[in-house]
Amino acid sequence: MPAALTVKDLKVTFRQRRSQVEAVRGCSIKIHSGEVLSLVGESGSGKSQLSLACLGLTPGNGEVTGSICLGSEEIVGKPREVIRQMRGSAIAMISQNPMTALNPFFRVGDQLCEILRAHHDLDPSEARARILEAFKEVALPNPEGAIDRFPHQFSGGQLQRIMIALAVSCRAKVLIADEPTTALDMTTQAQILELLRKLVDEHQIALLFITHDIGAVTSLADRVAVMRQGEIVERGTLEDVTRNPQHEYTQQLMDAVPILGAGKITPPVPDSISEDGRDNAPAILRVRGLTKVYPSKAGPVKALDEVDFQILPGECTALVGESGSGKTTLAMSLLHLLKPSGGVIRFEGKEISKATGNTLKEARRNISVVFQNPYSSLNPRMRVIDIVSEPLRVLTDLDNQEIKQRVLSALESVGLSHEHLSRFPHAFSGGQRQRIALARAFVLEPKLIILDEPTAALDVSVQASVVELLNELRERTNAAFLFITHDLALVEQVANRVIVLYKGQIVERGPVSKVFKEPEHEYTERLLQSTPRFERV
Amino acid sequence: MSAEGDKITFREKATDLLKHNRLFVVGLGIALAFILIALAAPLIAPKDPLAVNFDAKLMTPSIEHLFGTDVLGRDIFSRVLYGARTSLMTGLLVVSVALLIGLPVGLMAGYFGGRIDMILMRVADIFLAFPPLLLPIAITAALGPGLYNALMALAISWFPWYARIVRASVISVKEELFVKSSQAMGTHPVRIMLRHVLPNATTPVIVQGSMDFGYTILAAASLSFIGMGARPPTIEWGLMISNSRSIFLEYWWTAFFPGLAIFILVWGVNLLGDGIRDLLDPHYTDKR
Amino acid sequence: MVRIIVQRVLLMGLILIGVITVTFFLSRVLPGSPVEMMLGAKPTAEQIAKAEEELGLNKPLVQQYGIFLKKAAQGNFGDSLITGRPVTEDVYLRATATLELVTLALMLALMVGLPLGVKAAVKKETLLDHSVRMGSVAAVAIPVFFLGLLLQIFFAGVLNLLPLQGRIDSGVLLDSPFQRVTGFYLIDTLVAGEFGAFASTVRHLLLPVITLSLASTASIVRITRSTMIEAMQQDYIQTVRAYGIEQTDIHYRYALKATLIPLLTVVGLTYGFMLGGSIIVEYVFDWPGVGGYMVQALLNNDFPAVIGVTFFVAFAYLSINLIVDLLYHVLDPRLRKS
Repeated sequence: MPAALTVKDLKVTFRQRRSQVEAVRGCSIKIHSGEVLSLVGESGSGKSQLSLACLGLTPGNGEVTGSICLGSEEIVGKPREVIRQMRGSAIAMISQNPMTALNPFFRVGDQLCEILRAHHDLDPSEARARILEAFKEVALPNPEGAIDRFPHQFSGGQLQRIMIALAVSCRAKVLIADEPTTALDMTTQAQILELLRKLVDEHQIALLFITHDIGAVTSLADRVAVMRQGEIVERGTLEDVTRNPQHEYTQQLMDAVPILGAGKITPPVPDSISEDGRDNAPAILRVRGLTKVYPSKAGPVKALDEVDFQILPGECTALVGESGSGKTTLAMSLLHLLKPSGGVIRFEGKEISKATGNTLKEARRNISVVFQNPYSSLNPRMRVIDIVSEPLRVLTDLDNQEIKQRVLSALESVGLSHEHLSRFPHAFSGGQRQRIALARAFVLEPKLIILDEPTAALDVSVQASVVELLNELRERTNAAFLFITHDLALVEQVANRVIVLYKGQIVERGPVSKVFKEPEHEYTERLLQSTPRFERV
Repeated sequence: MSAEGDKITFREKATDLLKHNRLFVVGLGIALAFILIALAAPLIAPKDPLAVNFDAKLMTPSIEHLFGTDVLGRDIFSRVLYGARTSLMTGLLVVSVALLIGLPVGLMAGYFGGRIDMILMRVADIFLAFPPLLLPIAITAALGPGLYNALMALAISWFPWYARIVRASVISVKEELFVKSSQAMGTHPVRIMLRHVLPNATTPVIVQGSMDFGYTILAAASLSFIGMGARPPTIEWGLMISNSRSIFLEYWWTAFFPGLAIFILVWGVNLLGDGIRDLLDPHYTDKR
Repeated sequence: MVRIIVQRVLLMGLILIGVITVTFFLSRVLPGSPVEMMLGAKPTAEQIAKAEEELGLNKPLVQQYGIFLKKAAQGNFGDSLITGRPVTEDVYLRATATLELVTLALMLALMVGLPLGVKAAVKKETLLDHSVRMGSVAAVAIPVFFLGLLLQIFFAGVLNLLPLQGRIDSGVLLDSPFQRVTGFYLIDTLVAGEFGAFASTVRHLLLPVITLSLASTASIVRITRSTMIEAMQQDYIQTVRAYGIEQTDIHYRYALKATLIPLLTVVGLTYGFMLGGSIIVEYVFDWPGVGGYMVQALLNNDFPAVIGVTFFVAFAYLSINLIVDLLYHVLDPRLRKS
């Protein structure tokens, strides 16, 4: 019996005005029914073009050669109309962002039925019944009610379930999932991956699972293919590829993945904990009863609810939470960018949340921030020297000569040099931009640095080098970090202590080793379970 | 998140535009030609545009009078050449004055939000509740007919559009992390507005301004046409057409050539505006 | 929903008060004295004083404003200084002429502009698309009054096919008088069964409607095209494409549906644009609507008429936009109250 999907020597070439770009350069893969093949690669590796070619959706100026067989049917070279008939019946797709995958103006049930009926000879009530059945299968809560609702009334995870239900109800034997969990929270991600696995087994679907997230690969894939610059550089079973990668690039990739249980755990600074386990060292930052309430149509929403914590000098405290947990609100309050509704923030013993004048200036000189997205955090119209020197100009009275000196040494400490001084941000890659942002954060030699998901927008291999740099900087400057993240594996690599924020409340806190070994709160446990663990040889 | 898009520089885009967008080149050519005509009008005009000659009134186009003569025997060709001065100045003046008012208003409304925003935008709403052309006509009437009054009236009724556009882009730039980051340092709001917000918020309004240039020329000509704008002896195309209103069925050239001049200039300017939009703001979509 | 309607109507009321306030003060600074205009040449000082008292012009400006507002609230904008009739009556008589013109022009612009824009988007980067785009750039560049004159020269002057100006032949009006029920001649003549008058109305409407609609047609083409192209790049279009929906269905069902709703806003804006443009068109074609009335009023310092007309036009414009806004709330589930 032929494999459900066989791709042989596939090439996808784009003709542009001046040049040709080979997005896929001779790739071959094979997926059998009931099997999950993970196609792993970073952005620009050609993995999405490969999947589009399998669907016959290569954009107009692209040329496809080689062979793609669905079962025994060749589709390369077939008329568009024939391939179209196969989409939605023989092969289906789940896209990256479920929030935009459906038209916001129409009810989900109507949209799904319409799509279903394009290929399947069903009358409206039959189609509806089939969708309803699929909704139950993907465990969508209250399927009967859901079918008549609009897309915006669902969460991202629920919408992805709906999209999966569509794929299931089409009875497609081959399914392509292009980064289906990237837009979702950690715990939701785990549930969706679990659901996909279940459906693959039950319906004997062949799943091509495209991702850049090695963590997701380990919890779903049977076999793995690693793609780079349009070529498949390594393939094998999940075990082989993750435990014993052969190709240099795969090794780099695996090394770069933050893996829970793989890193060395940094214990808290020893003398900061007394015998009874209570912190009594002089904290640099003390937060008591911090509360932020937002008014909304449905009544006031508590983004932060009586949050208490402290940060000790020189320590890295990780703040873990998913989107909507209140972690960003917390960071904004500490930075004086949001007015808290209640509570006290003391920095070096001085209350700063309502401070003005010199107290505030002093605090600002000593607390700096690095944001998640380096594409947004650097003003595109300013040169590097102006970006990095801004804190010095605003908060100190140094003269130009001194400022330039400080900027240079800050740049050098993040691995950049004077030749970068007069360039604009667009000349830098994402990783380099984040280094510039780090230089700006460190240029004042602050005592506390708030890092808001500083690696989340970067490719894995770049992520690793930024984390390394962060650890190095902390050792050198002895600044305290508040490291905000949703990635527990990363916490393990950088933090001494961890605070878990859930729906605006702190549900768990303590040294990393203790929390990860014996989580007390049920939510922490769930988070830990949804974080992939595996061992390298 | 590919950086490829970022690497195309302004200069590359400009050369690309010049090489491959023929319409943009046509627009640029037309605009340059009219600027040249306006500057050199006294040198190239064959006749005095104001010289009345009743012996030569309403003559058909000929070698002597390329575009014929009007009811007072004035050479229409020369008058059309001189008219370029008025129209170009119209566009320039209206758009820049409107920008001058709209930019700070939009900047303040967008940056400070809250009550300032509320008040400024409600005022803008009142201006925008007048259909286009109606308010400029009313203001011109209040100020007294005349070219400069008409231009001021156009600018005053035009600025709320720009204020709105600036406000919208300021609100989105304000959410950018580099602004947050600067705020976290305690940078003075005025400095943030000038250093961070303004340079990143002007593109859409410059794009809109360049696309409106042609429209303001049309609007000013319309005002002159109904007798609310330029007055003699100012040489203005709309006014020339207005003067031939009772005779154009017989003496078509008295209205045709000034009209053609407006059309070609505005067409060229619009093509140019589209090109500038493509150059500065590739994601722009027609909003109104 | 009820709350939104109440909110919007209140806001519209506030804006209207703002509009007439602005016009009131603008009209009071009009150069020249309205009284002189009303009394004709060389009135005596006594006559002037008497007239000023009648008009309330001798009171302080703020007090005048108060009186004016009170009357306006009762729908009384005073009498026109030129016609001597109540302004509301004058405006009412002319409003239907303008509305007939603008409504037909809007319908024409939509009927031509929408399909052309959709076609250009579907056939993107083809000869058709390029010519439609070029045509639309050219069409917005033609001055409305120049286009009107050209059409007049050609169809009335050279071909002698269509009437030069006016709303209906006076001869026809005498031969077959009809009851003015709605004020829309197209409807009234049909209801009365006067087909001669109907034909005359149509012939008179053709040129002004085309003149008024051309620029708007062009901008509707452009906006439809770009909205449609944008819609075709949305993720949810990619979804249906990935599920093998036919190309024509993608275009004319999915993308078109996603295009029409945002285009609603454009209808509101176009309506306003045309109300403004109608001032010029009415002037060119001697159309007995509010535009020509307004120009006359302005040139003659007839301030009650100016305020009345402005109020009417702003009211019409805001009403359309209110309707569009509310429709949007009905159509977009995200804006509906949960």
